[in-house]
Amino acid sequence: MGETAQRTPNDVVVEVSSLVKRYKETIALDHFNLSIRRGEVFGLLGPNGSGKTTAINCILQLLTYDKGAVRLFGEAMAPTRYDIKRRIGVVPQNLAVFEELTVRENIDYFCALYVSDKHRRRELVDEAISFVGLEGYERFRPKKLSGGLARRLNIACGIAHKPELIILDEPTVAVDPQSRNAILEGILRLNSEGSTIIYTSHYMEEVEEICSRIMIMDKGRGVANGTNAELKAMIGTGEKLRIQLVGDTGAPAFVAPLVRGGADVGADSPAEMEPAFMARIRRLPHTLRANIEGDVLEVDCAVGAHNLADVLAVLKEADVAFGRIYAEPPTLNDVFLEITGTELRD
Amino acid sequence: MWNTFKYTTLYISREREILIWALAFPIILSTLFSLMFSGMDESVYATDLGVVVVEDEAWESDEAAVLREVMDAISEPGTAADEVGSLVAPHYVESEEDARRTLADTDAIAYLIVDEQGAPQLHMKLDPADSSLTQRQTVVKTVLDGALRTKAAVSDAVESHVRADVEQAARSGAFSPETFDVQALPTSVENWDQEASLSLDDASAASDVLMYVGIDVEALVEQALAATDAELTERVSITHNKPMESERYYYALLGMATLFTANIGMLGINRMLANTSSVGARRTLGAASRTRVMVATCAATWVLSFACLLVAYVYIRCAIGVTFGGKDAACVLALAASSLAGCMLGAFIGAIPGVSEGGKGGIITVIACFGALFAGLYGQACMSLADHIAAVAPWSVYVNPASLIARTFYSLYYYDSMVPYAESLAMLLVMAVVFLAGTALLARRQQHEHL
Repeated sequence: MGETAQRTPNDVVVEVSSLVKRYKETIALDHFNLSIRRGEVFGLLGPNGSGKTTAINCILQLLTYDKGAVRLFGEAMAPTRYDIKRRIGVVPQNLAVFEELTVRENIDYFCALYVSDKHRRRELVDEAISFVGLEGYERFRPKKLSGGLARRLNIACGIAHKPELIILDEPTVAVDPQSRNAILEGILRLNSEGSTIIYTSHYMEEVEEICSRIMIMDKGRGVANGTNAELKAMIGTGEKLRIQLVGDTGAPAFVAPLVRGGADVGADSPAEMEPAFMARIRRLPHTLRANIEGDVLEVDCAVGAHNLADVLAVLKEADVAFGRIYAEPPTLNDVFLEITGTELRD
Repeated sequence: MWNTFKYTTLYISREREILIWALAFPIILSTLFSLMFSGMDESVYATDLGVVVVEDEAWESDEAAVLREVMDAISEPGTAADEVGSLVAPHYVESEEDARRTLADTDAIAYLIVDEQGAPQLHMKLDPADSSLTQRQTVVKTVLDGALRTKAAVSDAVESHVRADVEQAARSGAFSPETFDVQALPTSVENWDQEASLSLDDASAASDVLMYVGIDVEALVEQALAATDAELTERVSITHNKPMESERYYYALLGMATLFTANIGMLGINRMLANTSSVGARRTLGAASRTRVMVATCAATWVLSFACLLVAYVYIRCAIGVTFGGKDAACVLALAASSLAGCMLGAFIGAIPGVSEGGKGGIITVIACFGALFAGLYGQACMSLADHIAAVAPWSVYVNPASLIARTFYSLYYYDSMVPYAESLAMLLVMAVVFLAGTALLARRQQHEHL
């Protein structure tokens, strides 16, 4: 891939400056900035409505914008810059193919929008079919394909002309795990062959898995930007402890301490029902947050050496029995939660 | 560009609904028409109506000269162009009694006798069992009354003209031998007697003639009338084809079929523009110029529309037997212009943002149904309504593609001149250009805000 690549002076493939896009009163992009270097797999992560697709459409000049500038391959982008468009491949969020054409015809048509030479195109179409694993389905129409295979066709139509920059807008939505893995592997393969990738998703696991750099978007702005490790280092959470509490009688774990502690069993507000050991856990030096969800004690801790030991000591002193224990590193959701105050999955 | 043309043609031709409406619909409907209208064209003609004529002295008199002319004219066989037989089949008898007997014994519908004053009397046969008898009798009576009214009007005009000429001649001094001026003579007076071989160089002889005319103007009038009698009634064909009532329905059908092919144009453009479909958005991202893609798309949809209409035309022409006046080349040209106008209408609707593909198809169906209504497709009452609207508001034809297309074929069939056909053709092209401009404007103004 990227056989026609031309190195720009600073090797920046995409440069977006202070982009503002308004839909009447709603601000979809609020002074949005973006810089993507050649060879990156860049993830745009954010909840639905955060402005990911709007940003992509503005970059591709499918949408007009109120303010700002977009430069691709070092040159100002415009709707009629077909020379720049020739170097870009787009895989849209929706299945955008002709239902009446076969797999091969679809790929050939979209490839023909970039490559006019018939013989060269035949080679490219064959390669694209092979790349996405649609051999044997060339004569099928999209309606006859499963959801995963149709997604692969969608990808093949966007990459057949071997673009230098590939933009994939949530390509794994409503795809089975097997096809999803195949798609993610394919993206990494495209990157290894030289293509720069922009990958938008609201699935943080996917972004963490394949992206070399990630921008978290919220309300039209990039709220954080960096590698996976850099983003996680931006927040205080070092690890997350999940401890299953078990009562003597098999009842929910937090009830037992209440009885033993002589608290008012008849009280019904959550605050009144909270066991006494929780206050002690919250007072531990590395504890950031602590609460009980069902029978699981959740404790978010700052980076520290003895977090788990300290928490278990408190439980032991309170005579609270516990079962399974999990210690997890922070996720991008934690990063998002800590920066914006809301869940990424909302 | 070629690939866009090729694949646009391919994917539209695989759309089952398009094929049904653009290709199968006119074939099915024209087949139904051929069954429904099988007896229509015969029933609208009145031919070989039996009329018994009493050929007595009154019939041979000068007063009945006009009637004799009329009877001769309408009993002539039809011209080769209209392929229609004679209106009446006269049966001459010598007396009224013979006429009554013949009327009773034969298929004759009336007998004609001239009274002593030279006035015609048409006696109708009575037969309650024959529902069409009155209609046929009315035709004969209408023709005779019309001829007599025409005769009276011509006589009045001729007499008035001759008297005015004589008066003018008198005022110019033409009746005085001293002041007679040959150049001042009005034409009708100058030629008062074709057989007199009047020498206008001989002033004295001419003056004598005029003196005579001045004394008896009535004679001059009668002579003028006698000269006009010979050409008063003549059978002519006002169309160069046999008038076929059913043909108009096929023209309206082609109009409606053209509007249904607008779906082809709609589909092509709807799937080309970023604001109207996801596949359009993807195509917009391609490195091919939008203008070139649009030209190729429009060309592909036009070719498909034209092909569909051509198939319908060949079927109606060859299988159903509608003649279209026998001007096939002009008809094919009309189909090309019609399909272009229909296709561009569809393209314009296809370019409307914010409406689904199904919604746009619905708009076209509504336009096609209403357009066909005002083109007269839905029966006699509807055809009368269409004619009435066209008479009251002639501009309405130019805003309804179905009416305009029907009129294009109509003018090709009925008129001797090609001017009405050319005008309709030009209007179809104007319509296509207007819709194309509208499409380009919509496509240009789109900012993809609905993506």
